Amino acid sequence: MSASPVAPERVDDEVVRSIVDQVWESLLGSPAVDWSGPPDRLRSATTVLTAEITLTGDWTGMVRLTCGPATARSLAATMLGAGPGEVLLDEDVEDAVGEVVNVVGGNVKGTLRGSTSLGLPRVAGGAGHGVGPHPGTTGLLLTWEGEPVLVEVVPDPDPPEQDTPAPAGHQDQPPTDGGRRWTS
Amino acid sequence: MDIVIADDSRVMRQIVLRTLRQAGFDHHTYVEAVDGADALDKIGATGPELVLSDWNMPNMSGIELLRALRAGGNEVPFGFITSEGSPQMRDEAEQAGATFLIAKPFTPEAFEQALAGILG
Repeated sequence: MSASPVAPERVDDEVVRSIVDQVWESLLGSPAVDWSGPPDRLRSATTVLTAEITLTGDWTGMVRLTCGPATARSLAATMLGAGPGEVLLDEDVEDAVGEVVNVVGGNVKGTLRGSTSLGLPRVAGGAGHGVGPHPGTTGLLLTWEGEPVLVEVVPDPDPPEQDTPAPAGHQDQPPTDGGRRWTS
Repeated sequence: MDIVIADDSRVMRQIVLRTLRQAGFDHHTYVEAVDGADALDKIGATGPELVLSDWNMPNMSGIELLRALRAGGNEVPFGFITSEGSPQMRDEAEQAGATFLIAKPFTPEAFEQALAGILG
């Protein structure tokens, strides 16, 4: 008989902050700086890009990065060391933001008790309406080249019953926001 | 010396290459693989001196790649470069035959320390 699912605990703010600080320094070469502009800037955006990676097992939830399409392109250019004016493919931009959530997600996984598997990143575009952070999540609203970047650790409020742990590297369900595959 | 780099992220493969050069390992030939299955083919074709692999990849994960190599008698030095650097993962990597595990996010110094005894 499987155990009744228990809502996963919220991941500590300071833990997420420490992880994001290290990831920003390593992948982007600069410290993670807090956004000081209007807090609803992303929520009111027409189009945002969202990269997600899920964690399943004793803790179930996801790590999510949300930003504008141009910000995603700028993040990718920095990660790739692209020169001024160098044109990036959409797949490279998606790859880059996916890798950011992959690294943050892997490090979050390392702080969790029990057994948890990390999925593969998924990237999608959509409207800004509904963008967090929401109560019960850990959210960092950062700035990159004058635009906001939201990094969230979102516990699943309704985790599935766990008979056996999910296999590592399995492909996850499509984004719940029904986001379409992003193109520029 | 050929080195195979396996990661499903092209961006991360570029970051690994850049960091290897920053760490002073810029005089080798690097072969990129997009997942474990691709890496297995390229390892068979090139006979590298070292494999650097992500853990979590589609088609064939890094740990599956390592186990396939060891099961086939291939003892090529193998290191993981992965976002999952917990003690449990390190134990599993070592048990499967990995020489080291570098956790993301990484620094050139981490590469120097892990690879100095292998690449010289």
